[in-house]
Amino acid sequence: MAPPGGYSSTAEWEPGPQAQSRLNALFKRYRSGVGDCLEPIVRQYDPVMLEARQGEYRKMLELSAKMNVVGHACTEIGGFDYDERRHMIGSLFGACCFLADSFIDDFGEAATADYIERLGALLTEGWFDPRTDRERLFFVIASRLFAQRDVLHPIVRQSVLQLYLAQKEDVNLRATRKAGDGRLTRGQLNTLKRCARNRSGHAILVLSAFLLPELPLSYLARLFWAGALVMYIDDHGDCWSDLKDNRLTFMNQVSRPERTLGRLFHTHIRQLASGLPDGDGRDLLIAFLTRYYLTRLEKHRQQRVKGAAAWAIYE
Amino acid sequence: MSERLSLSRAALVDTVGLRIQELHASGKLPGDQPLLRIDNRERAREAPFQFDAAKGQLHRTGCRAIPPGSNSALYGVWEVRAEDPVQGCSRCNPIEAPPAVEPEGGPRAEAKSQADPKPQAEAQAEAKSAGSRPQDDHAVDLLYGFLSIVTQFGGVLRERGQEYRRSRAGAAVGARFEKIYAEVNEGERRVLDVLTSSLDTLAVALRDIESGLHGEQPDGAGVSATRSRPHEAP
Ligand SMILES: [Zn+2]
Repeated sequence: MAPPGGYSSTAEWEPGPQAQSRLNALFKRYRSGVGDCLEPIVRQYDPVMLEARQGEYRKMLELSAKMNVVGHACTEIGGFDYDERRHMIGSLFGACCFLADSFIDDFGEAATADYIERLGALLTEGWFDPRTDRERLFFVIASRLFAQRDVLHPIVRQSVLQLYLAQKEDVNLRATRKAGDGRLTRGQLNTLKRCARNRSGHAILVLSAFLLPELPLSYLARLFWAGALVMYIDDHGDCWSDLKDNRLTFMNQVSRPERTLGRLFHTHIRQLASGLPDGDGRDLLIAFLTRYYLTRLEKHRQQRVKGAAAWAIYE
Repeated sequence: MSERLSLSRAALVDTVGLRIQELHASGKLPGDQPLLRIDNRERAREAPFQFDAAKGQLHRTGCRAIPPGSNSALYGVWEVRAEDPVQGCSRCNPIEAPPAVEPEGGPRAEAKSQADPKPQAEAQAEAKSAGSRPQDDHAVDLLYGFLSIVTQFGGVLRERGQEYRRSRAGAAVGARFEKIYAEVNEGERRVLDVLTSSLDTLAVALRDIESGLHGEQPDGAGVSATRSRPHEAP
């Protein structure tokens, strides 16, 4: 059942105009809606973000809107309506991911190691001891998210743990690669690919586990593949900025990235088209991934010419 | 529930959560008792089945056909539902043939399974009756139960608790709470006692929040006690 290799015709899965216009409408709705949920929390616990770091706040809202669109699709695939409560879950999840990524990426290696260790303690003991406004904001958002579902449900807790372990491996890979001679072995490339797969594959399962009362095994793998594809696309879009930051990813180390991504995209999408139940949710997910793929290809091309611009917002 | 009440409850829950973390950070919670353990890796590894999310394939735990690259994509599974069509591994054949049992991690279930292997359907029914999930550390579940009561009923605050306990719903919750309290061991009880006594402090903070939300303190000064430190990089 693993995605087979090779290109395929797009005709069998290409989202029609109806799915495209629905995607546009949902993006519009969630872009304007996520702030209603997140702004009061940010104002309460980390007001400086609203005042002095507007760009960062907007980036957080954009990621949350994206998570809402993906969450909307996953919820419909599971046979449920994406109601107001789920909109809140999607918004909290996006903010949670954004803040977690910032702890890992934005404050240096010591802060990254500290965060990984403390997040591990939070997941094994429940203690986090927030020290800064940003950490209090993260803790409150994570708590509100966890309050929305039985966090002791096996799939919820396993997906959260797997996501944490994937983040941890990603951080470890960053640290160990620096000693290399600049060339990666096939094994190292495979490790990078697996790490990318896990980071976003488990993330979409966390989101789905918070949104759905049960996550059938028959959907779990498909959603995992959809998540993995998001990360390959994301890393291709961030190729130049990652290289600038000395961060190696599968997509910035593979020899023909655009061709590789094209193959990954087509095979994953074909699997989603044939493996997920017919319906609006599946079409929305495919429309989203297709839009994401096309915009990130463009981002990659633009950044190659203009240089990487951190925090640029792409749809 | 009105939007204001919902906001108020969310703010109460935030404060309770942050306050408990602060108590721990300041060393006022004795012992090394965990508050909540989400990490269930050990239990998941012992589940009867493993689902390989990367390949979309179900295995019996320990199957040697699980590829090494899938180890980081495995999900422990205690119950395979007939209505959830999933591809089973052809080597370990997890769907057709009954497993060697072990639906639960509790000692009673373990002892029973060694003496009397059950067919898959029976084993799964047993797992389902226990909530379809592995038994976790008892103490952690009890603490989690306590916290869920605190968060669900911000009015475990003393002054409201009196009134609430006299109600029918309150009596039921009270009985549950007392049963939990009676069952925990000495160390756990100390943690509960500290948490409970800290509710006095919380009462003041929560009143401030509520009055702030009702327009009496529009600057939201009520929570300043929980975030008095200046902003700094994490
Ligand atoms: Zn197998």
